[in-house]
Amino acid sequence: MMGDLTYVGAVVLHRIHAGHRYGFQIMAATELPSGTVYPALRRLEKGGLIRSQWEKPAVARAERRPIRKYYQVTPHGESALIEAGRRYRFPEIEVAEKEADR
Amino acid sequence: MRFVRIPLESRLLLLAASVLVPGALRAEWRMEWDGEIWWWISTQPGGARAAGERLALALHCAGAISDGLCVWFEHQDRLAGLRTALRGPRACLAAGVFPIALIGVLSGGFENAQRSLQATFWPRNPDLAILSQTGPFMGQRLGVPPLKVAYWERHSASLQGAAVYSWYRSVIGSDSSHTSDVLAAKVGAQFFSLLGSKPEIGRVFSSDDFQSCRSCAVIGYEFWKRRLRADPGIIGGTVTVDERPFRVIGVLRKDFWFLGERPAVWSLFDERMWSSFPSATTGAICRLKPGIPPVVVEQELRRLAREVRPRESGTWVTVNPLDAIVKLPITSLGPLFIAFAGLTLLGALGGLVVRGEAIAGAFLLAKTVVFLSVIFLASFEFGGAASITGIGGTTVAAGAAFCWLIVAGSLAVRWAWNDQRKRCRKCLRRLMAPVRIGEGSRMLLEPSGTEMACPRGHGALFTAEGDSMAPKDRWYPLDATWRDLFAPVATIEVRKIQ
Repeated sequence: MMGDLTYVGAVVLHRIHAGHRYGFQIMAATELPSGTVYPALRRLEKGGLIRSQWEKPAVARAERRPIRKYYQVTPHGESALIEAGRRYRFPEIEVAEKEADR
Repeated sequence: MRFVRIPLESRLLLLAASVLVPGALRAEWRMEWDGEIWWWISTQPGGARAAGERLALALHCAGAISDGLCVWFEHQDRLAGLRTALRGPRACLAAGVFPIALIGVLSGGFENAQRSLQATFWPRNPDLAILSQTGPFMGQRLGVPPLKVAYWERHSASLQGAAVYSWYRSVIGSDSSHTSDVLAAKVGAQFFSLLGSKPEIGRVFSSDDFQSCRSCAVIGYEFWKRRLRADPGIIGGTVTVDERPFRVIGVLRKDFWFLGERPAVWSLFDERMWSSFPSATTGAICRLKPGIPPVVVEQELRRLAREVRPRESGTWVTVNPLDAIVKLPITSLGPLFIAFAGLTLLGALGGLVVRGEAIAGAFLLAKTVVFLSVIFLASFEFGGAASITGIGGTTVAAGAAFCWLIVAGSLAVRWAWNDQRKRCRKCLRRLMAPVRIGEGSRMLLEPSGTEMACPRGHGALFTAEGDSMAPKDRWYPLDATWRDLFAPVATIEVRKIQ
């Protein structure tokens, strides 16, 4: 999966790494449409680069909103992000690489 | 629990997308999308009630379709399930039933087969007969020259009337369109009255039209309905056949049927073309006087023919009852169908007696009958068997149709048997994953061949190569311990979790 990471996948992965943790937030941060972001999330999860977790229902109930699914970058995903930064020469991903080196 | 009201169009898009998602994942998938939509709506000042916001939300929800498709493709089990289903016996039978349904639709409900069955079991036209000629070469069937028919009609004491008919390809034009390569027909003035045909609108030809309405035409129902859009104003209008104009006097009924041909335009056989028109493609229909058998009529017409041309020899007229010609496809080709199906039935019964394979035998028989039906029905409906016999040329039982059916029927039976060999002995699914075993050149001690396995893991089939000394087919049943090897991946994962 690491070698197959597309540009869109790399951008989505980077945003999740930057702290945007659920679909709508990622869409807003990447400015990509839903039809691009969600399939990218499925593929990243299937490739083991991110993992998902449902929040506790009590939290959502207290805020009177639907339950939310959070995404998190796995160690495997972090390595893929560094490799993607080299391949796509994406400034923000290069920043992430430096952060990872530290 | 509903947190927000989603507009109808967005709900429909989500519903359409959710159908794509496999059932096991659907609830979770929908929950995530509901959460996202809640966030989307809560960020809009108008709460997605304004038209622009509703459109933007619908576009957002349209993304759910590509997401649903992604989940569908990622979920391999569904595709694997589809592949397994396509290997099943039901898919095999459905593959045969589909073309039968298509033939039924294209032929207007198996019209030729129906007419043929009707003429076989419930003959309706005992007095109508088709005149044709038999040639000197191996009983070759010829058409009848229009001049002879006119002579017979005038002088015969046993005919009530006779009319020639012939069809040919032509270019037909109307005010709105020109259609090329369409079947047109030339008929004698009495043709429709001999058949007892009534028009849908207008009228059909009568005896007087030969003098007064030579450039008149009757339109076939299909042509009127499809090309002329069922325009009732066509009566009195003009159509052209090969650029010659004809005045339309009537439209035939939908149920009009004559030897399975459906000419678009029927015009009168002009006396001037009698001598020039090729008799090979001309037939004649006649009505016999009540109580006179065709053999007597035949003798009389032969005598009349000799009166005109005393020296002509080797060609003589035959009088064939119309019902006998219409039922010919059933009576001559039906036994061929029964022979093929019977051959398979014997094989199925053999398997039942030797190995007790009742369901496998029933499937083999059903499969063979379905595929034979496709071939025979297609020949009945589109082969023009009755038409060829009715106009000369050759009889169905000795012609190209018969040869084609023998070859195609043999191939169908051979295929059905071969397909049966390569199916699981238990679930009748088509075997998969062929693996080559052994070496082709080794004949002794190391049999070579191909091994295939049941998609459900019921067993494997070893098929020996032609030169191998091993038995041709050997079935190895596999017990339940092998099942995990063939089970869908998701099933195994679930078991591990449990």
